[in-house]
Amino acid sequence: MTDERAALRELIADLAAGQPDETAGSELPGAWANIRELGLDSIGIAEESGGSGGTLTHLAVIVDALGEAGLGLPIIEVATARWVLAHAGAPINTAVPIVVLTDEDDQPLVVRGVPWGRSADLLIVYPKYGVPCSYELSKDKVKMAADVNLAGEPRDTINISHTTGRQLAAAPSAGAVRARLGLLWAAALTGVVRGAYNKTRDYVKVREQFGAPLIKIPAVASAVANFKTQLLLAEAAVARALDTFDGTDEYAQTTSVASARIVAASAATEAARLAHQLHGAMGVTQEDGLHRLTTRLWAWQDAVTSEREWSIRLGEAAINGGEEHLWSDLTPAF
Amino acid sequence: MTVDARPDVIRLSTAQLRSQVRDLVAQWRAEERFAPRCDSWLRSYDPAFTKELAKRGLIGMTWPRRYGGGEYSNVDRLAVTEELLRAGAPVSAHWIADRQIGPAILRHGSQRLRDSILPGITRGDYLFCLGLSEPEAGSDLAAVRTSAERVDGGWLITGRKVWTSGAHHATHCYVLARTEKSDKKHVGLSEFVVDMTTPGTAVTPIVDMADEHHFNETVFDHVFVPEGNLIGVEGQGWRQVVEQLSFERGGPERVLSTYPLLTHMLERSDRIRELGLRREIGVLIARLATLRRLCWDVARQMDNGAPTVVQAATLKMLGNVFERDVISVARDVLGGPGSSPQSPYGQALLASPGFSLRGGAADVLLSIIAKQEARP
Repeated sequence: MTDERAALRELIADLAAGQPDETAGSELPGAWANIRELGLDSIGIAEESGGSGGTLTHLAVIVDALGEAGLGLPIIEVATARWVLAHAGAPINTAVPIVVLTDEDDQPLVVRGVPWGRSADLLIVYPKYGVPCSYELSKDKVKMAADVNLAGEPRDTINISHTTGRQLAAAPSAGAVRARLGLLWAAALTGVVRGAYNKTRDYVKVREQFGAPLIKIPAVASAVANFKTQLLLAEAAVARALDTFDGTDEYAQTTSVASARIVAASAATEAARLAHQLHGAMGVTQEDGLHRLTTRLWAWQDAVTSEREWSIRLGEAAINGGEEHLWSDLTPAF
Repeated sequence: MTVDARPDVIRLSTAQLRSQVRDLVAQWRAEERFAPRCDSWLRSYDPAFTKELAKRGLIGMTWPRRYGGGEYSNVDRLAVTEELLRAGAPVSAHWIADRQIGPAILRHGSQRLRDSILPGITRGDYLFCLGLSEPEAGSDLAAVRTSAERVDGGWLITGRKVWTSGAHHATHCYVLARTEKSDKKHVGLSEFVVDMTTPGTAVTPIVDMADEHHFNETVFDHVFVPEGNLIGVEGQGWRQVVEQLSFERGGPERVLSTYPLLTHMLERSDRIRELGLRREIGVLIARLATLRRLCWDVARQMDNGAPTVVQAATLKMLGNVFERDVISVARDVLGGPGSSPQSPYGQALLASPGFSLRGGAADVLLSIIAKQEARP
């Protein structure tokens, strides 16, 4: 598994090398075609269902490596949408299927914040409770209002009132989708934290002030060490959550994803702060490229389900369940 | 040195180990033989409880059987230690011997020293204190001045050690002393086991701000230490102690010192809701889950013989922050203007300044991590 992970990381690093940051306002970035060709957007789905095989852990490694490279692609939404379709017994290989969780009681007519909505050809919409529907998004039937998130990645509003949805009765529950999306976002976020950490550490080792590399200044060295501890914590949180997906206990999965998302999100806040502080004014320029990472830290830390919401859910679980529940169900490592 | 496990000795599973501890703790609580408290691995002393654990083979668990150990993995030991800390059980009597001095003797001690000391620890009879810090050597540990002078058949140790927790109960003291004067302060240090009943040994209490007596000043005035009580190689003490400290850092006591306070808080779900603190509780739970995972990672790495320096330092750093943050949430839930020093909140708060000092101050840990990261 360690070798496989290394190979996947290398694959993504090669693929990402030299990719410009072309998300803002654009259609899909060039690297997306490579992802599609390699079938990386259907990893974690069995081959007999039309997927590329592999596990959720493989997919997590890929989204982590893409995050580390500061590359924003719809892989999390598409891979999860294909997984939903596979479970629902629907064809999975449309070009860009996207899945969205909403807080609406029934199927909404207007869906806001659809990731890469302008490029999507299929939209799966989950109401708060009940059965999700899929909508084919043909350009003449759908009204679209373009918008972007903090990283300039499309988050569009789609009006589906003139499109007929198809019920996906056998689809996984909204909770299962939330857990899977949450885990993948935690992995992606951890990748960005690592990317920001590596770039920052390399910078302070090279950049000289007061006649020596910045890292010779004790306060800078401490900040680097603090940064590293946040990265290690986020990595441990994601590893822990991934382990729970080996089993079938949806509650354990959801609560461990909650922990991973909360820890990764708070690591992201620290990472963005420290990366900018240690890069000095250079870090805020377009030219430097740090923003590719830090704007994603900010955009992704609250993706789908916010850090706040995960925290409240987990706090509620602890308060309701009491200490025994906290110790034996919510926080054990082994 | 390992000895093959004897097939006639029952080895418990991790789950069985956990339930054994839970049963013992539950029984003792039912009999009101202890009250859970924060920081119990430093502040809750009961040699009778230590003996109970020893009887069940829960001290020196990872050591070879010939010394009374159970040849368990570090992961198994973690299951036991985290259950004990969860309960706030009185474990301070044996904690230092079990966690770090026993393993140090096992790694570097002579066969004779192992045979003479380790079985006493696993029986729960030998209790250790740590003679590391000195009035002039705190974070700068290599600055120790305590000297060990060669005499016929051994050494004479002279010097002052401070913050020797539990020295007033301990049967033995681990002492880091200078055996050679050198321009380089890391050179010429050696490690010894000192019998606390040796003439010339004097223990004076250092009462802490909670009005509790755990710390001491321990003075050695020409205390004779026999040849065989040297741990490892004369003059190699620095290398050995650095290794020892990295073992010291990666355990659950760096995360769970205030866990009993968290337990108290959860009993006040009404207050938590009323104050709107569900989010804060959720964040604590997420961090606790992840820190317990890091403890497990470190234990597994120890079992695999992999280095744990950065992981252990990270665990201790972030674990101490967690311990402190539990107290800040508890301030809202349980605190208030009338909080007494004996309340769970008061006890934890008054203990808390020590968390990020002992076992390597936070700043020292950061410099250890930074040094690794600055490598080309």
